[in-house]
Amino acid sequence: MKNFVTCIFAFLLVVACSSTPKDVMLVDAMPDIYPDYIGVTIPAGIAPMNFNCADADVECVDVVVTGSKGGSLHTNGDYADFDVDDWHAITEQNKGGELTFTVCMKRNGRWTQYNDFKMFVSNYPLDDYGLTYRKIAPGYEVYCKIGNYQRNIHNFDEEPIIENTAVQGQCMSCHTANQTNPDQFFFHLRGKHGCTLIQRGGKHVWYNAKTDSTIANPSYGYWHPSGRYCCFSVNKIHQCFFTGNKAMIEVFDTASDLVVLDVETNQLILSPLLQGSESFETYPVFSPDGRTMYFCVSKAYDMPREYDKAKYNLCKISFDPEKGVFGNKVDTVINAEKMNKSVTFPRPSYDGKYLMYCLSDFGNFPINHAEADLWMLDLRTNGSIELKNANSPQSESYHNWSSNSHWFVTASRREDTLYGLLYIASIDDNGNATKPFLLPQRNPQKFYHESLFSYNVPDFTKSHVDFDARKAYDEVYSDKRQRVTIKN
Amino acid sequence: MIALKLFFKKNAGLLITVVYAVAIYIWWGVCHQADLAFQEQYQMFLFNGGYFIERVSVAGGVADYIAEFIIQFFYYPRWGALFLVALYVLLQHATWLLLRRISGNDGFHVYMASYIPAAYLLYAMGDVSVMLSLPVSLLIALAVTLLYIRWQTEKMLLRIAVFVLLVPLLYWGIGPMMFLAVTIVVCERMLSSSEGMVCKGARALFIVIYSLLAVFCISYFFMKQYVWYDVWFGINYYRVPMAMMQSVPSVIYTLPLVLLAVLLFVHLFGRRLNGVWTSVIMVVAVAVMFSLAAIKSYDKDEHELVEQNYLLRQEKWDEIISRAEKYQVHDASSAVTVNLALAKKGLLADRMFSFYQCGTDGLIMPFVRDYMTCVSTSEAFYQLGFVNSALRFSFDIQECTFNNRKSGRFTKRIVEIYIVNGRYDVARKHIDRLKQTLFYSSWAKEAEMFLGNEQKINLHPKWGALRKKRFKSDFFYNINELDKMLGLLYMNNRDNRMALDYFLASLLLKGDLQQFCGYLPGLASDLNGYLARHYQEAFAMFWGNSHSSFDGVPVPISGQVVQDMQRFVQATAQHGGYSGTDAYLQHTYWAYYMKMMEQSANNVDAESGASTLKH
Repeated sequence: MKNFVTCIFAFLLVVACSSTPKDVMLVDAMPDIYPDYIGVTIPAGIAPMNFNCADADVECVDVVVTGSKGGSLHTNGDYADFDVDDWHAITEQNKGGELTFTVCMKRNGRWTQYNDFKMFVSNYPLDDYGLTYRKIAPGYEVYCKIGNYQRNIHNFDEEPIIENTAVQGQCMSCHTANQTNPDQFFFHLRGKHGCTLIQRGGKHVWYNAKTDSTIANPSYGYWHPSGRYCCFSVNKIHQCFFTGNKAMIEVFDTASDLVVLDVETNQLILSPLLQGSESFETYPVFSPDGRTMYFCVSKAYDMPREYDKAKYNLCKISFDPEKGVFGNKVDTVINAEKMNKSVTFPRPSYDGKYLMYCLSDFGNFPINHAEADLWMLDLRTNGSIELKNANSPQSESYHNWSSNSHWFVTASRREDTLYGLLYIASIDDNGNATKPFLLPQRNPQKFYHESLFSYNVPDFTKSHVDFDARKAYDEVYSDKRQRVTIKN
Repeated sequence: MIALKLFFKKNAGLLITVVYAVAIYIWWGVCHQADLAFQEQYQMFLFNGGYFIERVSVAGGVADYIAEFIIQFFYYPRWGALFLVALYVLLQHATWLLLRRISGNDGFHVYMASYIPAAYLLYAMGDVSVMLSLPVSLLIALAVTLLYIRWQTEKMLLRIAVFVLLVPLLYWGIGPMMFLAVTIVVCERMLSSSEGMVCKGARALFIVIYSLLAVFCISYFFMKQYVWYDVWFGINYYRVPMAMMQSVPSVIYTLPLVLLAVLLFVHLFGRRLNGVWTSVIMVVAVAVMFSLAAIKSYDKDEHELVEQNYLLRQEKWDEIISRAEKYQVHDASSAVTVNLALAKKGLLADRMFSFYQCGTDGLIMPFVRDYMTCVSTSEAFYQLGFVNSALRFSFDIQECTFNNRKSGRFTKRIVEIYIVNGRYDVARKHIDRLKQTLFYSSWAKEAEMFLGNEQKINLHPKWGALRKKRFKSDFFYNINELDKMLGLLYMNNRDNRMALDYFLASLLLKGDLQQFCGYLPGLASDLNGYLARHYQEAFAMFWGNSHSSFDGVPVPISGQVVQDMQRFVQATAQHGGYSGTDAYLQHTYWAYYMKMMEQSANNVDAESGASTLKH
C-alpha cells in the first residue's frame, strides 16, 4: 500500500528541474556523488544505481551513461534517476564491459562538467531475487519497530516478511534461510511468547528448544545443506553499556555451547567437545558438503570483567549427516588468539572455495567494533587474505554469499559510524573483492539520510519469501510449541 | 428586561456553546497543560511528503495524521488547547445536527443531549493512553455520515455507488470508527424510510455484510502485518497495542456506543419529553456529567507524575519542590525528579529526607521498559554528566512508545549528546529531521551551527560544561555500583558539585555510613566549609554509636543537630519507633535509616520464612 501511495505522490510531485547543460565549464575532478559509486563493480540487472550530488547547492544534475559495448542512457533532474528497464538493458548489453558516466552539475545557474567515472559490469550474474534483512534502530535494549524484510535487488521494492506489529512485544532475530532458499528458514522470537520458528516448505514448527541439558535458547544458527539439521549456538548473551564517549555497547556471552537440531526427529544433537564451561563456542556453520561444522571458540573468561580478553579462534569438527553425529576431535583452522585478534561470523561460500569471516580485536560481536573487517579464508590453500577493497575504517560484519557465491553482501557502519547499511561486492577469480556499492535506492540520499534503521544480517534470497504474518501471530500467542529431546 | 430574556431565549444554544468552549479551554489549556505536553512529547510531526505517506499508508492514517498535526501544537499547551476546543465544539455540533436529523426534533433538551458524548470524551481522555486519533476519527465519521444522509438524490444507483466507495475509503481514512458511520446510516434509513420492514431489513443486511467484507478484504490485501485486533478495533486509537494487551480498552467501543445510545434515546423519547422542565433537567444532567467526567477522569498519581514530568521538561526546579511539599507520589521516578530538583537548587543534602525516598533508585533508576518511568532518570543523567547513559535512556524511552512516532523532546536531547560527544554525522541526521518540525526547527538550525565547531561547543553553557563533566575514561555502567560511578564522576571533575551531592546521597540512601563517614572529612573543603543538615545527622549518628561525646568529631556538627538526635532517640524509645516522632524528626536521616533497617529486617524475616517453608 505504501508503494502505491508513494507512486501517486511521486507522480503528482514530478516538478524536478530539467534544463540542458550549456556553456559547460570543465573541471579536472571527479564528481562528488552520493553514494560513492565511482569504480564499483555491479551485476547486470541490478536496480538502477541512482545517485545524488553530495553538494546541497547543486540545482540540477545531468548524467549521460555510455556502455563500452554499446547503448547509452541520459537522465536529468534533481538527482540521477534511471529508468529501471533502460538500466537493465544497458547493464545486460555491457556484461563484462564498463559504463562510463559523464556528469554535469548546475550551481547558481552555471554548469560544470567533471571527469568521467566508470562502473564495471561483472560477467558474474546475480540472479537471486533479492535480499532479506532485519531493520532495527541502532539502540540499546528496546526496539519500537523491528522487522524482517525482503528487497527485490532488481528494482526498489521492499516488503516486510514479518514486522513486530504482527507479534507485538516480541523481539525478533533475523531470518536465516538455507543457502538462500526461501522455502527453508528460521528465526527466533524473544519475549513472553519466545520461540524458534522453523519453516520448511510452507509448514511452520514453533520450537521451544530450551532443555535441561542446554544453557539457553538457540541463538546464532545455520542450516545444514540437506535441510534436515540446523546448528545453533546456545548463548547466555549480555550487553553492557559504556559510560565514556567512544563506544556505546559491548555484547558478550557469559556462557555458550553448540547444538544441532534435527528437524525431522525434533532432537538436539550434542557433543562434549562443543559443550562445557571452560570455553565459549559460537557462530556454527556447516560446510557446503554438510560434513564439517565450522565455529568460533574462545577460552571462557570472567565476563564482563575480562570482556576484552575473549579472542575467538575458528575451529571445525566433522559431522556425519547420515547418522547425525559429530566427529571426535576439534581442529583449529585460524588461531586468531595468537594474532591477538578474534574471528567471528564465519560464512563458507556455497561453492566450497572460501570462508569469509570478521576479524576484530576481541569479543564475538564485531558490529560495535570499528576495527572489525572482512577477511577470507581460501579453503583450498588455507590461506587468509584481508578483503581490503571491501573494508572501511568502520565496522563491517554480517556478510553472506549470493547463491552462486560470486557476490556477497555485508553491513557496514562506514556511513556515519552508527547506522549499518548494506553493501554488495563481488569476488573475482583471484579471490579479490571489488569495491562494494551501497544497496541502490530510488533517491539514495533522501532514503538513507531519513532512515533511522540499521540493517542486520542481510542474506540473499533466491526467490520471494512467502510468509503469513497474521497466522504467525496466532501461532506465537497460542504458545503451542514443539519441544525437543536430547539425542542419546 | 424582556429584550434580554428574548436574547437569551434566541441565543441560548450559542451562549451554552460559548460556556462549553470556555470550560473546555480552561480544562485543557489551564488545568491540564501537562497532559497536552505529555502527548506532544511522544511524537514528532514532520512537514514532509514521506511522513504523510507513512501515516496514510495504514488504516486510520488520515485521522492519525490530523491528530498528530494537532498534537504538535501542544508544544505550547495554551495554544494547543484551542485545537481541542475546536474539536470538542465540532463534535458537539455534529452530534446536535445528527440528533436533530434523526429525531426530527430540535428542542432545547435535544440540543443539550448533544453534549453527552463530548462529556464522555472528556472522561475518556483522562486516560493518557487514549490517542487523539480516536476523537478525530469520531468527528470525521459523524461529518461524513451527516453529509451522506443529508445528500438528496433521486439516483439510487449513484447513491449506492457512493456508499460502496465510501465504506473502504472511510475505513482507510479513519479506521474501524467507520462502523459507527455505517451504523448511523443504517439506523437513519430504518427509522426514516417509509419502505416495508423486509426491504429495510434487506438493505441493512446488505450494508452490514458489505462493510464487514470490505474491511476483511482491505485487511487481507493491505494490512498483512497487522493482527485482527488492529483491523477491527483500530491501530492507533490506543497507545498500547491491543495485540500485546490481548484485550480491547473499553473506551474504544464505549465512546461510539454512548453516541448511539444518545441517538436512540433522543429518537425514542425526544418528542415525548418536551417542555421547560425537561430542558432544565437536561442542563443539570449535562452539567453533572461534565463535572463527573472532570472528577473521575484522571488518576491522581498518574496525573501528578505527568505534571512533574512537565515541570521537569521546563526545568522548573522550585515548582517541582513546592508541588512535592504538598503531595508526592510514592514512586521511584517521582523521587528521582524531586531529588534532581533539590540537587539543582543545592538543597539535596539539606532537604532530601523531607521527601519520599526509596534507596538509590530514588537518585538513578534502573531502566524500566516504558515511555514514562525513566524520563526523570534520563534527565538526572544529563544534568550530572553521564552523557552516554542519558543518550541510552533518551533513545530507549523513545523506543518504548509502541507506535514509532519518535519524540521531539528526546530527539533534541539525543542531538545534544551527539554534539557533546562529537558525533556530528549522526547529529546532523537527527537535526535534519528536527528542522522539518514546526517547533523544534529553530532550535535545530541553531544546533546545526555547532556541528564540527569545537570551540563553539566548548563555550556553550550546557554542552561545554557537559564536556568537562563527562567521564574521560570508559568503563561499563553498573547500577549496582552507582556510588562508585558517582564518585568517579566527581573525581573526574571536582567542580561538578552535583556529582558530589549525588555521591554522598547515594551512600546515605544505601545506609553505608562507614563509607560516608570515611569520605566526608576529606571532602570538607570541597563542600566549601558548609556541612548540610543530613550530612551532620548521618555523621552524628555514626559518631554517636562509637563515642560517648562529640569532642574531637572531625566535621562540624551543630549543637542543634546533637539536640535533635537526642530528642529523636528519646522519642523513638518512647513511641517504640520513628513513626510516632514529630514531623521534623521524621524528616531526618535518622528516621530514614531506622525505616530502612526495619525494612531490611522484615525482608530477612520474609526470606527466612520462605526458606523455612522450602525446607
